Amino acid sequence: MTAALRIEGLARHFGGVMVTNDVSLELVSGDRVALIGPNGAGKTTLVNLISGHLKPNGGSIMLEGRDITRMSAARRARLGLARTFQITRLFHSLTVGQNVALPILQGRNLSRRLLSRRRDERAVRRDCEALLDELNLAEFLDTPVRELAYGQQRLVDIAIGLALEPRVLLLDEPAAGVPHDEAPLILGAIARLRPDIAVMMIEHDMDLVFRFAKRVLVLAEGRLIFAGSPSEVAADPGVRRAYLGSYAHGRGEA
Amino acid sequence: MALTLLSLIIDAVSYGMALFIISIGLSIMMGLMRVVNLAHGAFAMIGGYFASYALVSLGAPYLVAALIAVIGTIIVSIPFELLLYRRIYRKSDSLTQLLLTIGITFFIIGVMNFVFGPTVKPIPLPPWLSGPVDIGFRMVPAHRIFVVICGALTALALWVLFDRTDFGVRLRAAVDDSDMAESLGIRTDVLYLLTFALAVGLAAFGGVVGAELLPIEPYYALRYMVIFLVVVSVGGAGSIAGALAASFLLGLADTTGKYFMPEYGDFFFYAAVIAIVFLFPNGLLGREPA
Amino acid sequence: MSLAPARFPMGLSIPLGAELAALAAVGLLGVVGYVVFPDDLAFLTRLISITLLVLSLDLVTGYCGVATLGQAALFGVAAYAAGNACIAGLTNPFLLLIVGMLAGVVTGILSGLLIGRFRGLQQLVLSIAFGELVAALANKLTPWTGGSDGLSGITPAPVFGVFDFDLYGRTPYWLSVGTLAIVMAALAAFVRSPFSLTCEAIRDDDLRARMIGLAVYPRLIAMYAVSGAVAGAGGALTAITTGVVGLDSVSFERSAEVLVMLVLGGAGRLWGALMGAILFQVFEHYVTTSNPYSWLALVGLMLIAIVVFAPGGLMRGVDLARRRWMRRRA
Repeated sequence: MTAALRIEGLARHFGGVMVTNDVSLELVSGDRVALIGPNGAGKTTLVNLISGHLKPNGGSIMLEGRDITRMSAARRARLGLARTFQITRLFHSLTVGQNVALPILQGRNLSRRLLSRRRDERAVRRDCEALLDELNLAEFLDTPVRELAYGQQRLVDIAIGLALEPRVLLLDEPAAGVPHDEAPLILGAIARLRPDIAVMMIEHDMDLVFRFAKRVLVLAEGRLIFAGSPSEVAADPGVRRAYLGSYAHGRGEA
Repeated sequence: MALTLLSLIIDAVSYGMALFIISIGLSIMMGLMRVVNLAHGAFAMIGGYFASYALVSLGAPYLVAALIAVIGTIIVSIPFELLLYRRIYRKSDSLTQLLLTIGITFFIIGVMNFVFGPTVKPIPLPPWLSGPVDIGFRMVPAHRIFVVICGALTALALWVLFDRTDFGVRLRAAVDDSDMAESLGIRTDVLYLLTFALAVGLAAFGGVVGAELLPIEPYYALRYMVIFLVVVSVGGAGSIAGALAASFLLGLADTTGKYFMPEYGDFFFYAAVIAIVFLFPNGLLGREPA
Repeated sequence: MSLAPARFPMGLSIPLGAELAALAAVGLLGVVGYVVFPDDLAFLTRLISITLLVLSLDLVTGYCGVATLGQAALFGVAAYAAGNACIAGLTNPFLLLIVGMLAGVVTGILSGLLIGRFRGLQQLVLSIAFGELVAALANKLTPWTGGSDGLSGITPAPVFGVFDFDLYGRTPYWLSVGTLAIVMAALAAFVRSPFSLTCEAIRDDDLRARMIGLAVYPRLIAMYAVSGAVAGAGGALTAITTGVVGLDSVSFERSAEVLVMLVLGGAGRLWGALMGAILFQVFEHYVTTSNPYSWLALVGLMLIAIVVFAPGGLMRGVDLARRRWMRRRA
């Protein structure tokens, strides 16, 4: 069976600093992987490299057996790679329904139509409603996204990712910045993700990591230093050193 | 041919230096405040008007007139900073910046015309700048050499300011991270105001010393606006060396076009601009943004 | 109830409602203009061709977020193309409109190829450079443009072979009103298409748009082609209705002026573009004194006031009023 996502020897530097250093990993269909690591370890850079927002200096990225290393971000998305952003990025002047309709139109190959057909409109609206219903957002279909609470905006961000019907979904700190009382919304949504999608999530909250992940990857200074089960990770001396080191370093700077 | 080539190079270099003195302020503002200031040329023009008034009506000496121009322009420009520019630093989208600053440009053009009339304002050169100078094998207009010296001094002074003074260190800290600068106790609004004053002062200075090459009249602000923007876009925002290189390159392109194909007007200049932007999308000496 | 205009994906709506409303509204405006300004039909005719240019600018600036100061190029090239076609013997006004629109599409695609690639300062600089390049060419290629004297001697055949371009300016006026009505109706359908929605997504956040699989550059070029057709219709109308095409049709001032009209009415809204274009030009018609500079100062103040006090233009004011009204009813 081919891996949903396979990365080999991925490298990226800014100036002389290696931000991603020889990273190799593999996600299979249905995977639930948490990517953790101290601040500045290069987690978001790695997601940016995979999604095509940044170009790597070396290495390769395969999506379901297909080499996507040189492809544009848009093509990767069309092939089934979706991501969310650490700071929510939505189409802020549009409604929730329109935000979610965009990837649905894209998936149905309707996004190039210069005139709208009522049949398509109804079908897309139905899909939007179904998807938003799953995330408890159905009532906001015609609300401008900028009027939503931040936690709900994060859910819309995830909904956009899901509407692409991806094979691989990358979540960049989906719970970051969400007020405490809204956090369960996000957790519930993540728990209900379709079982065949391979999901990799960057997360700091170890509580969430334990609940979500079957596997944990630890990134430090651009390198993968650990891969294993959630229960093993806390006991690993290398991981503890990495976190402690960064902690001490951070204290020294401030 | 050799003679033409030499005078072409002298014209191109002095024109490039005038462009540099005016545009570097715009470049610094772009780099620090992330604001595309279309009204930059309008401030250079105000400087020219001040100098012309001081020279012709007050009979001030040339260098005093230049000083009056710089100080006067800064004073006139400060209300614009406090009331308008502040709103668009860093966060505004480019359309908002474009609209506000082109509005300011139109307003200044209208007011300048109301006060000084639509004709070209003379900035008479003193005797020590109006004659030719023997540079060994050739006579060169003294004014051209003066512009080149002014440009070199400006570049040097800015380099010292940014690399060797406390103000420069703070400025660069604020460029890298304005929140960080704020937390270190740097008042960014004061820093922005000072930078704005510096940029406008440089524009006024360039407007005065470059007036032989870019004559002062109300449409100055629109006519040369594009050229200043292009210098920044080609040189890369905030880069002194980039602005210098871009100024020379564009000075050369413009002067060459005017020497050999004057009937095509600005065609080759703008064709060169398009080619350069496509070849160097991050500016001549720019880095790829992280 | 949401403030956002009803667009894709909508629930229930009247079939062709927006399109018919656009036709009716422009027709009504045409009648009002004819009754109120019977002696100024030439002015109104010119107003309509510029309004088409403002609409075309709305497509790229309002819907795609492209900050451009070179839109007049699309209008001017189309005007010259239609003028030359007419002088060469193609005098049917409708065919001339088509020639203008095609020329606008070609210029639009070229413009999109250059400008759509970049954002921010680079985009602005390229848009100005493209406009100035076209202006310099128009000045130089005198056999086709007449240079600074302008291209004259454009005498189109009667509309439908019956309605002459008479001295009273009725034929050009109604031809222009009809063109504007059809363009508005077509655009009313177009702006609620899936394609336009993707353009708005690109305007809001082009990186996020890429991450849902939208190829930004080709879409901007495509939008520029549509925009070119609209601007081209305006350019062709100028050539047909005035009989002359001058360098002002490709000038920087023209590009800047239509941008002011757009933001006055409200970018990103068809009715905003229409309202801004009409109000600005009627205002200009009455206020312009003998001194163009005072007008420039006034326009500058107006722009500053819009940015500071009314970002979103007049249409936003209309929206807020409507919202208040609906709240009172509820």
